[in-house]
This record gives sequence, structure tokens and C-alpha cells, in this order.
Amino acid sequence: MVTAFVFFLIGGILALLMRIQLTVAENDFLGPQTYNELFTMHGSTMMFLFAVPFLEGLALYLLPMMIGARDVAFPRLTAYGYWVYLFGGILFYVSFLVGAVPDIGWFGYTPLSTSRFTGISTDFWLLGLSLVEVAGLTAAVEIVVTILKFRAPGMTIARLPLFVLSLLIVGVMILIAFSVLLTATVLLELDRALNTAFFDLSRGGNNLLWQHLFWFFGHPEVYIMFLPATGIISMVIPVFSRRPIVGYVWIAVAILLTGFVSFGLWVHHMFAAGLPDLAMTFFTAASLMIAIASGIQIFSWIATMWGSQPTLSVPMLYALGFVFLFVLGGLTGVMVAMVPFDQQVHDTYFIVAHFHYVLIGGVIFPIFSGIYYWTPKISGRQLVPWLGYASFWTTFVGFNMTFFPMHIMGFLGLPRRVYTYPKELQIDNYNIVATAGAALLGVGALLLLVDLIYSLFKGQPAGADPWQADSLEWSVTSPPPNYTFYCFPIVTSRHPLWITDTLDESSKYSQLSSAMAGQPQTWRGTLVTDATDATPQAIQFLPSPCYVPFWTAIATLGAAVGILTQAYILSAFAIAMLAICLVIWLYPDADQLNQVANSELTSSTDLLTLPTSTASVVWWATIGFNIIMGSAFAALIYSYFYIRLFSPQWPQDGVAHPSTWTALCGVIAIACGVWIARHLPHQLGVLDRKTQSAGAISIALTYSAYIGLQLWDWASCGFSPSQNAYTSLFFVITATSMLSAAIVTAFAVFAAVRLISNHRIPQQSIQLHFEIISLLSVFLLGVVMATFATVYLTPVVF
Amino acid sequence: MSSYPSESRTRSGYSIAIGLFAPAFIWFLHLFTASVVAEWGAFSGLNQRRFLGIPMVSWIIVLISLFAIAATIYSLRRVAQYERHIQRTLDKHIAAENSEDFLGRVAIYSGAIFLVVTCAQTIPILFFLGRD
Repeated sequence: MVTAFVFFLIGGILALLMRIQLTVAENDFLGPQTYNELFTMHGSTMMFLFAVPFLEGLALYLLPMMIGARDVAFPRLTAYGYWVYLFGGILFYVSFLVGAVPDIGWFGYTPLSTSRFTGISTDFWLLGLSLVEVAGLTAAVEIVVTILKFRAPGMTIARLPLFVLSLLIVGVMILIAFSVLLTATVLLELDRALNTAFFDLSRGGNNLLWQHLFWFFGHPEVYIMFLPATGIISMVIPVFSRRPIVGYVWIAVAILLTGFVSFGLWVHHMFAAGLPDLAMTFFTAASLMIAIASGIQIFSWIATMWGSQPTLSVPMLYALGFVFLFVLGGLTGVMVAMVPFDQQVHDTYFIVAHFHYVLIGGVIFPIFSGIYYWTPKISGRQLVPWLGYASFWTTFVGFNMTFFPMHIMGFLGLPRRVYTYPKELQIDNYNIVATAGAALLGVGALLLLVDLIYSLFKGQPAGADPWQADSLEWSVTSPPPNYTFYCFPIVTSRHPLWITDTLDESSKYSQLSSAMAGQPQTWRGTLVTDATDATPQAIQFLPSPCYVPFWTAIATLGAAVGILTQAYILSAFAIAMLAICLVIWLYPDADQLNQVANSELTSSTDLLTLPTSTASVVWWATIGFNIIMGSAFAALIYSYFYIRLFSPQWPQDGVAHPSTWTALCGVIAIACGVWIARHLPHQLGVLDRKTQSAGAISIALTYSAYIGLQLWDWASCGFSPSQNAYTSLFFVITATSMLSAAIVTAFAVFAAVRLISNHRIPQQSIQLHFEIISLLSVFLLGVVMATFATVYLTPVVF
Repeated sequence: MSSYPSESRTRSGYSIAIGLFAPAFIWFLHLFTASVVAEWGAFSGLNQRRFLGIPMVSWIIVLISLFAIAATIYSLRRVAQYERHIQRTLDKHIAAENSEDFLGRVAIYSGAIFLVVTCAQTIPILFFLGRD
């Protein structure tokens, strides 16, 4: 959160510099190149380095407290995600030091972002972005698994705090959307570094493909930021209205609806790209429908406040400011969803005004509300009220002064992304007001910062629950103790601190709660519960802090820097280091596992301490990994058919079809491996360790055979990846299927090594290992079959 | 904990899962296929070919839309049936914050809205029935 806030301040300074440049017509404070660089870095910083990371940081800090857990599901993964995010952000900004600042906009449209038009600056952008995406994906897995498995007993899916519910949906959205962006950035980097042809029109590529892939991420990204923000509002408004939220079920419906519908609106960013009218009208209709979901939430908040006497404290003021501004931004959103209107205002300041109303009004105001709301919990100190009120009013007035005139400037024809404008447009006055407003907005943010720093040292003690709030985080001391909950709370209502039901539910779990009080003592553990009913299932072992995630992140950075500087030896070295770090990270300590497996807690609580299958967080994380890989792979398949659709000849340039028979043999090899992988976990109980390791080796061998056959096909196909878009797609899709096979092979080898080298490993640990291999194998079979159908059969039949 | 038999619980679980996700996937598939058919039709010249005076592209999209609407109604009916079953078997005090009842209601409301959305995004095709 702190790192993201620093990036927010830097992004704000860049915005102020741009505003100074635009204050008067034909200004020369910044040149066109510097202006392009600043707006690229401003957009990229706010979208990739501030909004989502801040909300993820807030989520990872608050989640365990809000759901009654002692920690998140994968603490080391959180550490890795943080370091990778920090390194990604630094990579973005190192570009200033080496004089190669990205200037392609936060959207990086091709062909302007290809190597023909830009140099290493775009590589800084792409690789920095890739690292931030990896961090975002790790945080998403963490959030989803923690919410599904670490809830306190009784906190059923129907009793989730709405902030947590929105994070659950957003976590899944990130898994899908960020994976697609990761695919897009990898394809663009391949075009730049290895001369592939995905976005090269002269070799059969398609520039609009980038826009499709980017906006398939970009539009959900808006809701990835917006939904947790609404979650914050749904926590704040009931507390300061002193009553439960109205329409809990309907808000849940709205969150789910927004999550899904956001994936179907990407084309409305491309209404001026020359798509057929009919295709665009479908997206207009779908875009208008998102107003239903937003409207449900707005009316629920109003209904909650209606008839109550809300306390107008600073968090509540920011929440009210959000409602007002978001409604305005939403209304202009409905306007630009219509093709004729959008084509009139496309690429004008009207759009700049619209998305700032949505993003600052809809995201920053709730974030500020959340900062004022939860800071007493985090720091244990009260903020200074008058500074908070001053911050709110300067931010609110400054914001409207900055962005409202932009609607008018847009109507008057001021295009966006230009460093200056002619005097004849006669919009100097609007721009002067906007720049003055921006300065005021900056003062508002500074007042917040001053308040935070002052209260950290001199603030009044906050107490456990300064707002008399209803959710679990307020039940522990401020700041929260290490390990958070000595005794697990038992949840019997949606508002555990307001409505404490002492009926059957609390007595049902009271024995378990006492048995777990301060336990386990010799290792870190937390309770695992069912994903929907939150009934206790097991006790999860949590690893202790170590430096391996940091070194793994360093290795990840090394791989990116190697590609950036075209020092591919460095990349290879870094990838080897990454593999070593992962082995050290994942290789279990048999003594510790035995200690956990034989813990006294198993008898006192009647729960397993080494859970397997759906009771294990690792099982759920593997599902998350499959979603990431599946979304990335689906984006590749989409790219294949998109380019195929617009190619008169397929394969392009009369390239010969690759051998279908070799590929078919590969599919059969994988099918055999998957059959073994699916059956092994069910047979482990009756097999000795030698047979188990033989099973793991046979899985590894069959998957290796597939990789070998695929490499053979590469060698004998007679074309290179850079020949045309078809050949580029052929290589990248088959490479992805080989990568999937290699990952499962590595897991199978890992299992075999564990079985051969150490006989003291508990059976549950081996069971879980084979269950993971089984899950990954089923996914692999899907990837291999899709590869076969797409790359080998399609050119023959379609 | 729910009081009805586990087999019935599993079946209702599947129905709720289908009710929760099927209308959303159907909606997305409808939008995606309709736009691809429109784009591909314009590129390939299929929109120039007509049947009963209506372009083939429009026919295909109308059929896709009818199929999508029918499938959404089917999944809605299925989840509504199980939601009634859940409400019959749970006493009112438990039902207020019971997981399955909650998910069932979310599935019904969101399914109904997705049905409206799917119908709404079918409307534009009516304006293109007579055009290429």
C-alpha cells in the first residue's frame, strides 16, 4: 500500500506537469516528446502501479482480519508478488535515468509500439508491465484462495462482508484479464525481440489484434479497480448510517453481474476502429446494460442512508463524494456507449473527463474513504478530523474544477493526447480553471499525506473499534496483534459485532475454538473451512518467513533485464536461478511435515493437519494456476482465429502444413500420461513407494515424449517463426503447449525425487502432490487437444 | 448445516452452480459469436447473400439469439426449481443466511438480468434485417 501510494504521488506530479503545459494555448513548458512520455508514464503509473496494487495490498492486509484468519494462504507468494511489483515499478522509472522513457501511451497501440517506430523505451514499458502483471496474478490467487478457504467457522458465503465478496469476484477477474494482457505483452515483445509477425501487416499480422487483446484486459481492469472500491463503500455507508446495508443479496448480484459483463464490453473502446456497424451495435447494447448493475448498488447505498441519520465523518464524506461523482461519470459512460455519440467525442477531452470521473470519482474517492476508515485499525492512531475535512473539500472541489471543464473542452473539439492547442480554439479559460483545480487536487492529496504522517506519530490512540463498526477486523486491538486471532471467532451473522447470535451455531464450534486457542505452538497454522458453508475442514500449515521469495523475484527481474538489454545469456542464467529458487522454495522439509502430521491438534480438534484435495489451499491455487494458463492460452487461440479470419490464404504464403501424424502421436502420449496421472491418486494407498515413484517417472516420460515429438516437428516443419503471422502463431501456440507439458513433467520428476530420496514423507503430502499432478495433467490434455485441433487440423479443414 | 439428504444437496449444488454461471457464459458466448459472425459476414461477403429477403448474417444471428435465450430460460427454470426445494426444506430462521439459499437467489436474480441483457443485445439485429 505504501509503495503504491508513493507511485500515486509520482503519477500525480506527472499529471500536474501536463496540466501546467496545457494551461495556455501554444505553451512551450514541455515539448511534444516530453509530453508524450509524461502522459504515458502518468497513465501507466496510475493504472498499473497504483490503483490495482493499492487495492490488492489493502486486501491482503485486511482480509485475514475481516474473515477471521491468522494469515493469508500463501505468505511467501505475497512476499514474492510484492518484490516483483516493486521491481516492475522501478523498471518503469529507470527509463527516466537512461533517457528512454516510454512514449506509446498506457495502451501501447501497435504499430506505434513495434520496433519499427520505437526503441528500448517500449521494452522498458513491456517488461515492467509484465512484472507488474505477474505480481497482480500472484495477489489474485492469494486473495481468492484465502477467501475461499480461511474464513472463520460460520462465515458462510452468505455472510461475507461485501468488501470481501467484491474481492473474491475481482480476484477471479484478475486471473482471467491479466493473463490475457500477459499474452498480449509477450506477443508484442516477441515481435520486437525475435521478429515474429503477430502485429506486422506486411507479413499477415493484424494491428487490431493488439487492440482486441489489450481492451479485453483494459475494460475489466476498470471494474477490477471499481468493484473493490464499491466494496469499501458498502462497508463504510452502513457503519456511519448505523444500520445494515439494504439489499445485500442484490448487491451480491450486482457485483457478480459487473464482473461478468465487464468482459463483454471491450469493443466499445474500438468504436472508431472501423468495425462493421452490426458488430458494434451488440456492444452498445451490452455496454448500456452495465448501468443496471451499477444502478443496483447506487440505489442500495441510498436506501441504506435513507431515513437514517448518517454521521458525516471523513470516510463517509468521501463515500458520499464517490456516489455523486460516480453517477456523473456513469451518465457520461452511458453516452459514450452509443456509437454515434462516441464517434463524435472519440479522442477528445470529453473522454478524458469521463474516465477521470469514473476512475478518480469511482476509485480514488473510495480508496481515500478506506484510508480514513481503516487507518485507525492499521496504525492504532486516530487521524486529525479537521485535516480530513480540509482534505476532502479541497479534493472534491479541485477534482470538479479540473475535470468538469474538460467535458466542454471536448465538445469544443480539443483532442486528447496533444501537447498544445491553437489559440483559435478559445479554451484557455477552461484550461486555466482545470490547472488551478489540479493544483487544488494535489493539495488535497498532500493534506491526506500530512494527516497520515502526523497521526502516525502524534495521533490519539484509536482503540479497537473507534467507529462502532460491525465487521471482524474491529474485534482485535489496533494495531492488530501478530498472528491476529489467538482464538478463532465464530460468526453467526453478517454483522458479527452488531448481532451476536448465541444459538446452536456458536456452541457447535466453541469446543474447536477452545482447542485451537493459541495453538499450534511449535508451527504456524490456521483453520481451513469449506468454501461455501465455512464448516471446519482442516488445519493448514503456514510457512515461516524466509528470503527465498526475494531471490526468486530477483531472478525474475534478471530474466526481464536480460531480454531488455538483449543479453540473452543473462536471461538464461536468471531463469536457471529462478528454477533453483523454486525448488528450494517448494521442496518440503520432511521433519517439519512429520511434526505437523503428528501434531496433537489432530486428536484435540478431530481435524487433519495436512489436508488434501479440496481441503488443501494448494489444490485451489492449482485451479487458479490453470485459470491463468487457460486464459493466456485462450487468448492465443483467439489470436490464431482472428488472424485466420482476415487472411485470404491459410497457411499464409503457401507454407506447407506441419505433420499431423507426429502431432497425433504427441496427443496419444499425453493421453496415456493423463490416464496414469488421473488414476494414481486413487491407488496410492495400496501402492508401495517404489511403484509410486515409477508412476511419477512414467508420467514424466510420456510428457517428455510429447515435448520431444513437438521439437521434432519444429525441426522438420521447414519454416521459421518470423516468416509470417501463421508461422509465428504455430510456434508460439505449440511452445505454450510444450511449456504446459514441461511444468507437469517438472512436478512429476519432483515427486519421483521426493519418493526416492526420502521415505519419511507423510503419505498425505505425497497424496496432495499427485493430486496436483492430476489437476495439471487434465488441463494439459485440454491444451494439447486444443493445440492439435487449432494448429494442425484447422489449416486442413478450414 | 443443511438438513436435507446429501445426494439432494449435491444435485441442488450443481443446479445452483449452473444457475450462477450458465446465463453469464451464454450471454458472453452470444455476444462473442454474434459479433464474430457480423464481422466475418462483412469480410467474407456473406451479408450480401439473402434468404427470404433477409441477409444470411441476420438469419444466423437470430438463430444464435433464440438458442441463447432458450438456454438461459432453461437454466433459470432449473435453478428456480431447486431454490423452491431448498426453501421448502429449510426453516425460515436458517434460510435467511443459508449458503445454498443465498446462492440460489443470487443465481435466479442474476440469471433473470442476464436474460434481459441477452434479449436487449438481440434487439439491434431487428434494425439490420433489411440491410446488408
